[in-house]
Amino acid sequence: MTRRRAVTFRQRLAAWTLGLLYLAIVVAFSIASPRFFTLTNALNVLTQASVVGAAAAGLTLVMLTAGMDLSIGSTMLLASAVGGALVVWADAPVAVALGAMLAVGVLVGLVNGLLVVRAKVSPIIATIGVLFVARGCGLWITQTRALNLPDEFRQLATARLAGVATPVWTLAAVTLAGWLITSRTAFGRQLYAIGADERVAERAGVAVGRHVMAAYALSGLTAGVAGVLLLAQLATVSPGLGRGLELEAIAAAVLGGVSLFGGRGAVPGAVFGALVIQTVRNGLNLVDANPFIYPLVTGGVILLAVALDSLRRGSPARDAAGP
Amino acid sequence: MLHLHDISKRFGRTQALSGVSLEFPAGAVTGLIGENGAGKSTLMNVIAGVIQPDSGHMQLGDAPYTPHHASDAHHSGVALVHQELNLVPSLSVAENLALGAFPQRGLGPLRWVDRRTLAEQSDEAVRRVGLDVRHDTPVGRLSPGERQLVEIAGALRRRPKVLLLDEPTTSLTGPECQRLFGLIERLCGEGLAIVYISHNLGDVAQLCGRTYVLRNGTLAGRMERQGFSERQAITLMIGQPLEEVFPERSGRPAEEVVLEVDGLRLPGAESGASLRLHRGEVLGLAGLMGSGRTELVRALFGLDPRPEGRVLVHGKPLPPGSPRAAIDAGLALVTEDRRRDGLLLDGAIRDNVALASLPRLASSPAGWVSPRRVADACDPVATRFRVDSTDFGRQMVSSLSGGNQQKVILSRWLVTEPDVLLLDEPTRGVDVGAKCEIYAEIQRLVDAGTAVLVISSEMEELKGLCDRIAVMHRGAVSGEFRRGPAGYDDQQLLAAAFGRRNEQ
Amino acid sequence: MTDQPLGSAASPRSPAAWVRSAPPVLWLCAALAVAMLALQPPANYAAAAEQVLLATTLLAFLAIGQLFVVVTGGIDLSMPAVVSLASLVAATLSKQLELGVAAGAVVCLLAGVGAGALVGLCHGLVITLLRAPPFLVTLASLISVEGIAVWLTGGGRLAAEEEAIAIWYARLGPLPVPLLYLAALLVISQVTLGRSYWGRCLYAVGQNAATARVCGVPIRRTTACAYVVSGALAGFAGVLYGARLYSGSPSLVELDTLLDAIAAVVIGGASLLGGRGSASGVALGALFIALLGQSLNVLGLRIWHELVVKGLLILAAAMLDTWAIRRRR
Repeated sequence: MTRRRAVTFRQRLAAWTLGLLYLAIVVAFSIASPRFFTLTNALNVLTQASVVGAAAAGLTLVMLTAGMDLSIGSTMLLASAVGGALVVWADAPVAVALGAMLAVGVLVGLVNGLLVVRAKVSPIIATIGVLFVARGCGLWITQTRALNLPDEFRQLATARLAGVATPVWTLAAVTLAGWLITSRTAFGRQLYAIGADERVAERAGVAVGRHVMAAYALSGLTAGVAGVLLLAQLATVSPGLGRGLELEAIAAAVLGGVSLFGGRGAVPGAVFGALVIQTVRNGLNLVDANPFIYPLVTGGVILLAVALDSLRRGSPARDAAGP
Repeated sequence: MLHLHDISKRFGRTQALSGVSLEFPAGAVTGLIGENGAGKSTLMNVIAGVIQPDSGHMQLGDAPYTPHHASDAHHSGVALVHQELNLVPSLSVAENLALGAFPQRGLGPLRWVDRRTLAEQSDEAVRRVGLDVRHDTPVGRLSPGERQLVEIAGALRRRPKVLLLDEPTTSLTGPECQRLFGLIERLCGEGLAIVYISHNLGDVAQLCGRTYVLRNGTLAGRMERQGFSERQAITLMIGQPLEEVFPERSGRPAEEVVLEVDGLRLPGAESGASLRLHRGEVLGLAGLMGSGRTELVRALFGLDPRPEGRVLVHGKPLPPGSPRAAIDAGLALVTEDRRRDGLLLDGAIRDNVALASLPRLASSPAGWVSPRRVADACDPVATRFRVDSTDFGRQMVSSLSGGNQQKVILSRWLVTEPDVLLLDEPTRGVDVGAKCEIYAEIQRLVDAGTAVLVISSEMEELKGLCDRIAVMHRGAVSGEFRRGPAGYDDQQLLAAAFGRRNEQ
Repeated sequence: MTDQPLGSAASPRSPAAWVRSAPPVLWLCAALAVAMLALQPPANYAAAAEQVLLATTLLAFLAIGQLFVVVTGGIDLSMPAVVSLASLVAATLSKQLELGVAAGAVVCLLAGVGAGALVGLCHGLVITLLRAPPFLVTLASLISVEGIAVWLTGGGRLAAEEEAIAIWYARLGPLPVPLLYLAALLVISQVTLGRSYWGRCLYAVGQNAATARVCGVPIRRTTACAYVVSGALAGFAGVLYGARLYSGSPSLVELDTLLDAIAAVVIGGASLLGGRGSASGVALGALFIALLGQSLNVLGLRIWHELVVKGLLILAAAMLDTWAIRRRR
């Protein structure tokens, strides 16, 4: 009895720690720089966090099933290459290009899902394989050249609605949708069960395979969305686009309380994780810190997330070597 | 209600079921007993649609019943309550109950969980089994007994015609058991066909109108309530009178104390446990599930922390937290769950046997391990134990039967030449043949002076094997019984298991 | 691979059994080599072979280092950063200490390998003591160590004492010295994994850590050592990369090299779930990746062909693997 409470207390503590930490970060930067605590800067941070935040939202669904998606960055490149090629070479309307980008995302996600569910390849390997293939296909399309997009595309990122830029609205919509899916739909609740214990879910009659597949497809979709957001900000399809972004999304999700072992976490948490990382970067930028220490700080923040996760898990795992 | 005709199922080289025909009438509790590995769980899974039989057919009411998937069984009105709980601790009671079929509402393809209906359904289902928990309580906060009732509530939610209960009482306290039996009888009165699978023959005798006995995948016999005797049930289960299974003890335990546990207090327990084990003695450790038997052994072996208490081997204190130190001091531990922490399933038989002795087999100081030396040390032991394999160096443990896997683990510890052998459920999931070999090996070791400590949930096993039985309750030893001329007194053992102090 | 017990590098086998046990995808390796030979004039053979083998050597140090960790069921994502850090430390020390060629060369080596081992030790400690997922710990390290490297140098290169560091990438007559390292690495890692107490512990931990613990395997020490070795080998690779350029740099290898190393491990028959893989298999995997890279020019392939083929091969290897495991069960 007493032990059960203790864990709950530690879990609460861990959940609060990130919030308190964020508060401390905000206060510290507000004192250090007058430009930090302003509405403009807040919207800036949100815009900058939108790419990784959106990707992390979909990734959360996959991670809830105890899966992993390392192909996010490559998916973004492939989607951008397809979108860019349509706009630049085929003179397609921007709307068509956007639709195609999202479709590419879903498609890559479905391939991941098929590999994990049907071929029973472990998620890390499956998505690394798809990472290579998607990146290869993306470069194939662009022939490793940089593709400059017309201004219409850039306007996607700069257009404002009620004074707030579209990427922020997009991020908000993705977060809200992700939250509704995970907390209010049968599919979402069943994802938690799958991640906690796949056999239990199966015995209860949950269509495990279909659900996992859908989780990967949704992760692909949000990778497509993230691709659109990134492309709109860059206005160029470069060969290195999206590289390493999957790692940032994973870091954000874990920081936000999503467990690598499945069954625990929430979409808003993951997006919040992305926000924390971006806030730190933004703050460092405003106080004119040496830009070379940004990665150091990001790495430190991930390590912090690791420590938090280990606190959250509480009871000692029997095996020292995790997955 | 449910009829099974001539069901057979084969897994690889083992015939799990052969030609089993049973019938489970409506409005009655039918017992299903048999040893571990007798085919009970396979049969359950066949009925629940998890496994498809190789041959034979089933009939539910008047219609043929051919489930291809667990959900087919649900829809046909067959519900199964598994032995291990099927609950997700992080989800709420209501969500667990509704896991496979959430109540939903919404527009067209947009559907979301109908939370009010979810709560109402949960409250109703929980009330039906006489439990009082809120629908939004995370299952992780419930006691084992409460979880069992939630599990049954979940099974009943789909209004089944047939309800299968697999060992429902293993984690329940006495009052919780009686509450469950009351519930079963009530459900029976409502016309359900209930299949009750249990090791506890007393429960079976109390509840079941008719009891089927399985042995090695076949139907060994059938007993009605009037003619039920535990003795006959056991004979049917193991295929021979009990006396013939356990070897005659020849020697007497020596006076020398090999292992002494002094006031070892487990986390969460109020008092410590103390034990003494003598050279050439078999000590049984009995108790209900959760009484701390496994935890005690794991703590003394150094696998789990032991905040308080001492362990002495040959009078020398054993440092806590180091299985290596325990092994070096002459201890050996056969764990409860082979698959979880007993075997390297994807490893070769020889690698598994050698694992605990590697530092001794390695040529120090470089630590090189010569394959020949390993083979020379391990193969004779595995051969003597008749581990069924032609190639110890290549064949993987996962391809062996349960009995042979257990022999591999025992071989591993025999290679370390232990003074104290700790056995946690050594014959769980093992066929009768291998069981007899394991008993004979224990006897041989004891005669050679090894001290053996056996944990078992099967009272008959402890009574047949042990010179002494210690009973645990809430982490402490609540009674110790020496084998008398007439064996042991069941009443006393049981009383001690429920924590009543004994006057012996 | 299919009918072998996992992690049984130690059991003596006939050559025929060895051939059967080779990861099936590696037959493609032979096919690719033959194709490359066929498309080149014989005069180029030696040069082409040398190039492929040198590329293999660099990759093999990373991939086999990775293997030690992968066998325990872990992963080391920090390698690109460790390579950079090691090259920088080696370059700086060789320049600053002014010890002359011989001593400078030794310092280069010790500094590079030492720096790598130190980072590995940190990983090992955090992973075993905090029970933290290796994926995240080494990811954090990848990001921050690279940050440290860039911070220290301001993003540019640091010149090393040329003659001292170049010794490690020199030629002995017609033979490039790194090929000797490759041979030594192969022999030592194969024997260590298959025939040492520690090697067997690594496999046991990867197959089932709980069982290994019951059997007295020192889980923490075994696991932590795997990360130290992985870091040290990456550090050595850093010295080699540095020696090739006579300098240290914060961006010697990219993330793609890490993925190449992981790909070599998977294609070479190791399982990312732990408990399985051999040094020889992984070296063949590295050879294959190197061949693929070289064939770009020779076969007129482009980078995207390479990426797609690599990805498909990883998937093929993984699928064959699960298929083989399912058949065995």
